[in-house]
Amino acid sequence: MQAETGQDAEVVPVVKESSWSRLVDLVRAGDAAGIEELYEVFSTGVRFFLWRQIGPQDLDDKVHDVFLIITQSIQRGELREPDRLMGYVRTIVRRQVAAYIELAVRSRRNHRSAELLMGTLADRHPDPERTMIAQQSHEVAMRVLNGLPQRDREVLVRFYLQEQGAEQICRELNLTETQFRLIKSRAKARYGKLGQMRLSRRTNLPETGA
Amino acid sequence: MGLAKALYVGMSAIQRHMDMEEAERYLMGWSPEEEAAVLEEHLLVCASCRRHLSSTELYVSSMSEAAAVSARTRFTDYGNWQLLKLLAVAGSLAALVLSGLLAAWYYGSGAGR
Repeated sequence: MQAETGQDAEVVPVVKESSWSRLVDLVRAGDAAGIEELYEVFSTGVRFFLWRQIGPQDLDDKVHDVFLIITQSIQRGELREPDRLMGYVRTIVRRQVAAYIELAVRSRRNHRSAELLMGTLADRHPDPERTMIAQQSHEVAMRVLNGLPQRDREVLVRFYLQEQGAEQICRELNLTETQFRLIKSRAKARYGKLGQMRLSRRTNLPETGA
Repeated sequence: MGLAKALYVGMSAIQRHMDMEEAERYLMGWSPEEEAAVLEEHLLVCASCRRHLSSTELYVSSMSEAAAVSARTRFTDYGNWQLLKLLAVAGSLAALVLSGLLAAWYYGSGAGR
């Protein structure tokens, strides 16, 4: 399955567990390079999670808040097992997300910060580029579905729309698990191929009006 | 500093990238808590899996929307079969009621004597 995503080429290196300890020691000692390294390692991932959960509003500030909390916690000695640094960062991000959502819900309930919430909700609207990508993706998915035999389409409708589990689908449609996986992966491969064709057609279009 | 990032990728809770099944389970909220934790820790340091997750998310939502359109515009095999069964049951019931009414009318009018 990973071959589809082209991830086989990227080999995950095995590194000594002591690296986290070294980084945590540096941060604990207030070493600027250590703090910078911590930021370098986690900032994109933290940003990714925050964006996914609460959108782009004040994203930089939120990322900064998370790092402030992590750095201060480490310096206070609250991270007892440096090997668990990644889990610790994840926990802090989740707590921040939960706190932000709670604040937004409370604001809405109390009608005190309507502007804040309106601003947040307004920013959750996708930008034109994202809308276009989503629309094209939807069209490609429609083409994939319409080009499938009835049974394969049935499998995908049950899985992606009705959110039925693999076991139930296999049982009711009399499929083996391998057949089920094959139907799904074939559909995804077709989706990828059609998407790429569409993309290349767009990039090969001659410039008009030039 | 780019090197630091590459080094720490190996420190992830899973020493491999997430596959399509795992990504879909996670996105559809079906991952058990332990699996979700491991995946999220890996995602914190793995750009490749973040890209994979984002593209899978687009795929899942597009397929879900397309499946909804497909389900609205035509019956699926299962839908047809269910409808057929429903029609058969309704037809049998209607036939039973009709024959009962006919019998009642026939014997009630005295024609059966």
